[in-house]
This record gives sequence, structure tokens and C-alpha cells, in this order.
Amino acid sequence: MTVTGKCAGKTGKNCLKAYCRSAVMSLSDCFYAIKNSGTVVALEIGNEDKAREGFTVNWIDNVLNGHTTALKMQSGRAELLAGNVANSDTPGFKARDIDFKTEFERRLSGSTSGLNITNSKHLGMDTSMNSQILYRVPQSFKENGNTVEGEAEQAAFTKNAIQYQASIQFLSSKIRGMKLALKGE
Amino acid sequence: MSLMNVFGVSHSALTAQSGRLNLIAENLANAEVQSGDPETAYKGQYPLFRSVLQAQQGDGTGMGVKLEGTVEDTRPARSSYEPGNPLADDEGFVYLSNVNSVQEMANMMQATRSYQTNVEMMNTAKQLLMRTLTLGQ
Repeated sequence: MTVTGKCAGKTGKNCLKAYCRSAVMSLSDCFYAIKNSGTVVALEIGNEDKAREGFTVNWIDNVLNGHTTALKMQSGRAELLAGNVANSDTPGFKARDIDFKTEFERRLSGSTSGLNITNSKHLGMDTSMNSQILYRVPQSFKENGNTVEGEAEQAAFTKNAIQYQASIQFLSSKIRGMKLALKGE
Repeated sequence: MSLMNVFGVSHSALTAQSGRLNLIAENLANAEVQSGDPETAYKGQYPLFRSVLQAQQGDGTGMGVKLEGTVEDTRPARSSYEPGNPLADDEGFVYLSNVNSVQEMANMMQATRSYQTNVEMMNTAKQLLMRTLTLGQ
């Protein structure tokens, strides 16, 4: 990778800073990215510790990433579904849910609703689950405008709970595996 | 931790449903109360639910429920011809409440089921949190 192309005339540390700024990443992420792409710029200018730190943090993140994301989403979804059940007798209440697959993929790819931050002047998108909530299409209509179907919501909640337990199980195994690797016994 | 918010949401539902059960009990207790005037006869009370956003930590998405108030049953009071009754009016009628006991019983069952479902939700959330606490062990 040629950093010089990115920082137009700057050299050494300044070049790296300029590059990281243009890449809109945190400094440690940036060092890691540079290191990963096969360059030694970060090491040359005396940032070995930074690079290593970034590497370690990213490594653990990478190992656990999918499951922690899933866990966060599942607990958020549990809250949403609990709200649906709680409001099963509220006139006019519309049952809400998220499209788990789409949202999960979006989070893993790190994109924000298809809009990526390519310039430091871009405003961040609302990446919380609030912006991803959809309304459920009911199978039957009630006269009071409520679209909660108790059984369906309960089934979804239970399913979500089981998926949450599965994520926990996977995470537990990962952590145990890492512990085993670290101990070396 | 959004799972914590499940407790808040379900708790609001428990409060609302027990309030509803209170109203049903009141209606059933007063179902046979007699009065000499249709205006003063007991009128059935019905709960009025409204969903409220639980203002909790983080980006709370949980919609709780609140028993906002009660509405009165507008159906006319039931009348019964009992000339011997000291409460009877000039024409010999006494007036009973407009509560339909069968309907109230059905309502009660619905409220009970809702209550149970929400308790179940809390239990599940508790189990999930307990599992989370033992993560990595």
C-alpha cells in the first residue's frame, strides 16, 4: 500500500495522520488497518505499541463480533416484543418488530442504511434500532385498530429468547476457547 | 441492556391489567345493586388503556401501557317490575346496573390471561439475564 498517494506531499508522521484523518477511523483502527494491509509505516515512526494495542482489541472484537451484535439485537428485540404483548389491549396500538436478517447484515457490514461516511464532514446516521423499527402486518383486523396478535407475539418472544440463549452459548464457547488458548494447558 | 427494560414494560402491563381486574371486580360486585331512578343506578366502568414510551436508559424502544382512566358504560339501566320493593318508583319499577355479568366474566378471563402472559415475559427475561451473568464460566 502506498500511503504517499493519500497524503499528497506530507511525509512520515504527518502523512500517517493525514491518511488516518482521510480514512475517518479512530487512530488505533487506522494503525491496525495500515499494519494489516502490509505496510510498516506505523512501526517506522515509533507507534509499535499503538499498532499492537489496536491489533489486540480488534482481534478480540473480530472473534466475538457476530455474536455480540446478535446479542445486542436480540435483547433489543425482546424489549420491543414485550411492548407488543403489554399493549395487546390498547386501542390503536400497532405491533412493531425489526427485520432481524436485514438489520443484522447491515450491522455486520458496518454500513448505515446504505449511506457510508466517506468524508469527515458527513453527519453520522442514526444507527440505533429506533430507526429500523417496522410495523407488523396483522393476519386479522380488530375493530379497535390494535394489530397485536397475542399468540404470534408470544411465539416470537419465545423464539427470540431461545436465539438469545444460543448466542450466549456460542459466546461462552468462544470465551472458553480463548481462555484455553491463553492458558496453553 | 435492553433486556432490563422488559421488566419495565411488563411491569406497566401488570399494573394496567390489575387495575382492569379491579374495575371488573367493582362491576360484578355492583351488578345487582338496585335503585329507584335509572340515573342513579350503577353504571359499569371500563378501562381506557394507552401506550406510553418507557423513558429508560439508552435507546429505549419499549412501549409500556398505562391505565389512563375509565369510561362509563352508556347502555340503559336494566329495569325490573317490583311494586312491593320500597325502592320502586311510581310505576313500580326498580332499576339495576347496566353491567352484563357474562361479559364481565369474559373480560376477567382476558385480563387474567394478559396478566399471566406478562409474568411469563418477565420470567423469560430474568432467565436470559441470569444466563448472561454466567457468560464465560
